[in-house]
Amino acid sequence: MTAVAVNTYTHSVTYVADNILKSFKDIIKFVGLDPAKLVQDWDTTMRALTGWLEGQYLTMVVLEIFNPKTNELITRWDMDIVYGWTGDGGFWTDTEQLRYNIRKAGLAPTEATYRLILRVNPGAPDVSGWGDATLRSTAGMVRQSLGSTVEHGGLGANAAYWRKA
Amino acid sequence: MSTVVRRTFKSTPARPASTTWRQIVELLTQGRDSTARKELLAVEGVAASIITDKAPQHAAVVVTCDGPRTRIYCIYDDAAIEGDDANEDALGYDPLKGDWAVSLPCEAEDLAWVQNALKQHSSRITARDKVEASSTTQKSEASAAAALEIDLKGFLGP
Repeated sequence: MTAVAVNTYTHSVTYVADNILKSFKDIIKFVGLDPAKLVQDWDTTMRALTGWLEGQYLTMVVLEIFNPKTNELITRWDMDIVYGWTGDGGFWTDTEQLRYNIRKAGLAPTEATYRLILRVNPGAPDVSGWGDATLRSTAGMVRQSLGSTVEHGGLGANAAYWRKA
Repeated sequence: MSTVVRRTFKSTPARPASTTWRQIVELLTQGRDSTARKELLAVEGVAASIITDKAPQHAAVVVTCDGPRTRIYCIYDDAAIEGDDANEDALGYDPLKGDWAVSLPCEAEDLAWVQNALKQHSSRITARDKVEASSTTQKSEASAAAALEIDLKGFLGP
């Protein structure tokens, strides 16, 4: 007898949410910063990611790397959410693509810090621990798209980063 | 020779990595609200990060104590959804009896920050390079297998 795994939308949400967090953990590590602050809030972030992916409210996850003294943005990493779920296809997480592009872009200064921001569509339900935020200005920067970074069954996230023009 | 017991937990995408860790904590603490449970839950984020990296797929989370040693692995992707290879059954002993310790397998390039983050919460929960953890496990399992080999000739002989 053979068996085939049945993919549900919840499986895809779990896979994509876990691997978006893994990808940001890797980005923080690759740019030379300490991921401890990100993983400290792992469960709170997962609750927001999974809840808003389930309801298809989540549009983008943003990692701002900035100078805490001047508040100036140093670089920014985006994960644009792609809602095209069919349930077909394998599991895809491309860490090497992130590593390669960070090697090109260079390390963050040691005094830099970071924060994670989730962008949602209007009507998204409140999630405990999350409130309104304003993104730092990207004036004078250009956005570089990298394509699909995390994907399962048509639900995925495309990475992009911002660098000085 | 020490007794070794293996358990295998379903992880992503059957359940999130953080939930996987909480299930492992339930197995180890057997529902008791102890200091050990608080320490294990305090490192949930670090453990979830390690689980998401698939480090415990081939290298065990090793739990030692004054009793049997417990090795915990995770399965992922289709194997996690199917769940045929999972064994999350309760243990018939206290895996944290006496002087306990938990060693988490970890990607070599994550080791420094993971060890530092764990140190903030516990001296009993540590991390090691998953390659090192893997070879230690293999050696230990090989020696356990050798120690348990049956002497068929002697057993069946007159």
